[in-house]
Amino acid sequence: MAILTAEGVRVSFGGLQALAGVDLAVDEGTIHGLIGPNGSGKTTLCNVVSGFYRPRAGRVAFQGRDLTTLPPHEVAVAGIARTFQDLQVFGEMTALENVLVGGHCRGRSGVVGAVVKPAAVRREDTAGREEARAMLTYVGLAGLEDRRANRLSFGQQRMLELARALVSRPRLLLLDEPAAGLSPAMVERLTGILHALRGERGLTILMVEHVIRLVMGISDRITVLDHGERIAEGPPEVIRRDARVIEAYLGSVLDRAAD
Amino acid sequence: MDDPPIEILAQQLTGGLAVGCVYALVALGFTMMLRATDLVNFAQGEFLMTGAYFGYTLLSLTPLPFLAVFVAASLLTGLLGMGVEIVALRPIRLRQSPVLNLIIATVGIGIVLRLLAMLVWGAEPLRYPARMGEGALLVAGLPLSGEHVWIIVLAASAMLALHLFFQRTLLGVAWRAAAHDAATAEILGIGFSRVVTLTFGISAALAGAAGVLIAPLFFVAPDLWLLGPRAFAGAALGQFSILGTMIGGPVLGVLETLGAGYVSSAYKNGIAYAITIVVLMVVAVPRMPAGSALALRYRRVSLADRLGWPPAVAARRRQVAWVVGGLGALLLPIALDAYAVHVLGLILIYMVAALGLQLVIGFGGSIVVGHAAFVGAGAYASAILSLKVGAPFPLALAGAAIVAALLGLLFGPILRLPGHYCAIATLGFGEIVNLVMVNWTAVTNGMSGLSNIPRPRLGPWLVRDDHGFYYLALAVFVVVFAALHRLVDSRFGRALVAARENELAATAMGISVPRQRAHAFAIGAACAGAAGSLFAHFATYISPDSFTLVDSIAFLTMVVLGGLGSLPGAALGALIVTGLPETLRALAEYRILVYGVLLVVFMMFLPGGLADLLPRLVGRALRSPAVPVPAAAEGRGGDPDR
Repeated sequence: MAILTAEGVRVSFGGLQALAGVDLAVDEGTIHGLIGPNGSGKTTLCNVVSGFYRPRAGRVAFQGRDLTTLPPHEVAVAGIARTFQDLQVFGEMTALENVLVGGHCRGRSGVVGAVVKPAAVRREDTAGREEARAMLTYVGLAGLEDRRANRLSFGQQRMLELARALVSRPRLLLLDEPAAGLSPAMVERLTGILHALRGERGLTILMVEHVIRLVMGISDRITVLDHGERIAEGPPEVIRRDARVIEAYLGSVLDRAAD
Repeated sequence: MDDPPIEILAQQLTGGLAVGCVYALVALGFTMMLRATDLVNFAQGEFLMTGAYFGYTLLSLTPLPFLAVFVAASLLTGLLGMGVEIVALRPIRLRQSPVLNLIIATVGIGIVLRLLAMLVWGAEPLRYPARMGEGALLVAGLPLSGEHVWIIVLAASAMLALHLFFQRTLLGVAWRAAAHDAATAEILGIGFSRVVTLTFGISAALAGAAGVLIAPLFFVAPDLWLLGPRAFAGAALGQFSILGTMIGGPVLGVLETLGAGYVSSAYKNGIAYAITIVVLMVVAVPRMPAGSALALRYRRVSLADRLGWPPAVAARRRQVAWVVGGLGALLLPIALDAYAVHVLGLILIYMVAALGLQLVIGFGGSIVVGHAAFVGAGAYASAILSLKVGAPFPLALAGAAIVAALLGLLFGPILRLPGHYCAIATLGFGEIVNLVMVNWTAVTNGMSGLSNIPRPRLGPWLVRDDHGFYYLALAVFVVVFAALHRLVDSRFGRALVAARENELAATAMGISVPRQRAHAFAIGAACAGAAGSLFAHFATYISPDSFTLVDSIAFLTMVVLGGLGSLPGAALGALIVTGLPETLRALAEYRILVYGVLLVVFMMFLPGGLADLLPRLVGRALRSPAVPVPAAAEGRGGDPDR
């Protein structure tokens, strides 16, 4: 069952065509890899799915609901959480506060609740903090709760973004190059987390990634973009042998990954 | 109104164009400063005024012709600008202070310049000793004012000179490089500090030139500075590009003149702002890049951290401090005379308003300059509810907060505008609201204001004297402070700060950034409205004069001086801004001068605001200067404005 479908998505910036009618179907409970050479439109597609770009043509549906015209903050409420390729943490806030903000769309309390602080708001607050701490521990940031986000290392900020996205309990997690800039040990850890997320929590993940070993090792299906078009889609074994994909860019990198 | 003959229309057009060209000159100064350093120079209007006075003196004392005086006065103003930049602004910039600190420093510079002018040339408006091109000029069969034509010609020449400077001289090209990318330019050997000084000088010179051109049309008076903010609107209209500004200024001048002639002369001064707000909302908002909120670069280290107190201990000692402070506040009036208590009551009112603005600026990251409009709206609402409806005081107070909040909610979309656009749009909003107070005589009684506003009565307690009023204001202050204190550490407050820190990521977390900002704006407005209500019943008389641009700038000053993002800081800021001129009363007219200088000095030595004073002193005493690391050195996340 496809939880997310994109049909004929077309995006252009000025005269430049970033996506030329791309189709995508992500099955529920799978990890779906999205790869392609630089400038092939992967991040653009991410931004369309999460509502930051409105496509010139085509539609995006999530759990059968049309997302195409939804503003990005409502896409988040609909159950799609994302991380960013270039780190986008709330720099002056602590790690814990960052994760608390991640839980914003699940919270209920408003201005009056914040000022009056009835029992329900206190409960929500306490539960939120506990969950945020647990999530920080889960991604390996235990003990750094009160550290300001812009004082964390690059890799730690990546994991913080992951924790911030997960705490919203999304149905679909959109990861834009989650392993970029991570040390091999942290890539290892990330791989373990992603496996667990799919296995234990049944989370669906759409992942843009350049670390081929990670994508090939973990994805159930892979979509390959080139020049804004989908040139291949299938399980990793098939993608690995696809002539067009190899021609487009993967050849040498794939061989190395296979060794 | 009869259709005016073509001659009148032509005269109005050239008149508008002349004023517009003057705007353009001043606006170019704004644009250049913004492009080079992100700084809105609030003293730009005062440089215009200074240039006009320089021209006045040169024309009076020397036999120089007008043209020579025009050039000389511009150069003098430019030199003055460079001096001011080196002495007052450079030290602040080198400390990595938030850009708002620099803005407030220019406010202080403006105050000093205005007062110096008043001391040297007097407060009375002076008639310009010589003029350019008196009499009519026949152009294409239409009799035009020669004066207007001359202004247009001279302003256009100045702009052409500037254009040639940018395109043809090495310095001009270096400037463009530095404005585009300071870091790279620095590597190439273009000293950024020198570029900034030069830019400030050129900006001031342009304003000075504008002053000499416009002064003959009016009188020379300190009030001339008010042209500065309107020129800023012209720069915003031109999207802060050099060419755009050269077009935006004249367009604004012409529309303003035509609007005054054909729509409403009472609202003449608001027309420029109204046009700017509408155009910005239509043009700038859809193209707005994410991450436009103002970043607070300076990081305060709390007192507890300086002393190394564990959180539990710090929390307990904070409670003790609050209890002691509270008792002190309760007992303070006993030790003071009636006048001091009167001033303290007034200070508490300003504190309430400043707290509301702190939420919007310090936590929300929007630069808002029109806060006095909400104080005024609250004051009028409360006065009218009391006088015309006969509402009891608590209802009038609540009504004032609600009216102001609704006004804030209505104009909340303005806060979608990024940084400086938001500053000029809210400034304009404040000016328009002030004009409404002046002109909606049926409700507000115009400039005469509303008097005989009843003293507050709470049940059996009629607040009659300054002591009673002090306690009433203190109670309101405590309630507002506690409410905001809880609010900033809540789901709502975190979402607001997240939107300030990173608009893109906040949106991805399901936060509607515009809605969040609008709500914060409304809450801040409600605080201002409550303060306005207290003010109305405290003074028993209100008029539009109490809610002007000067007051709005004072509120902004309180927040920045106190320390961005600190509620106690906002209260301290209100204490200093309101209390300092009172304590300096013995200095008579010099007190404003001292106040202006102190403002600049504070910005120089307290980048984290007054909230940072005690922790810094303690830190110094402990010889552990916890030097805050500038955000630029910490990787991404703190990237301001771009």
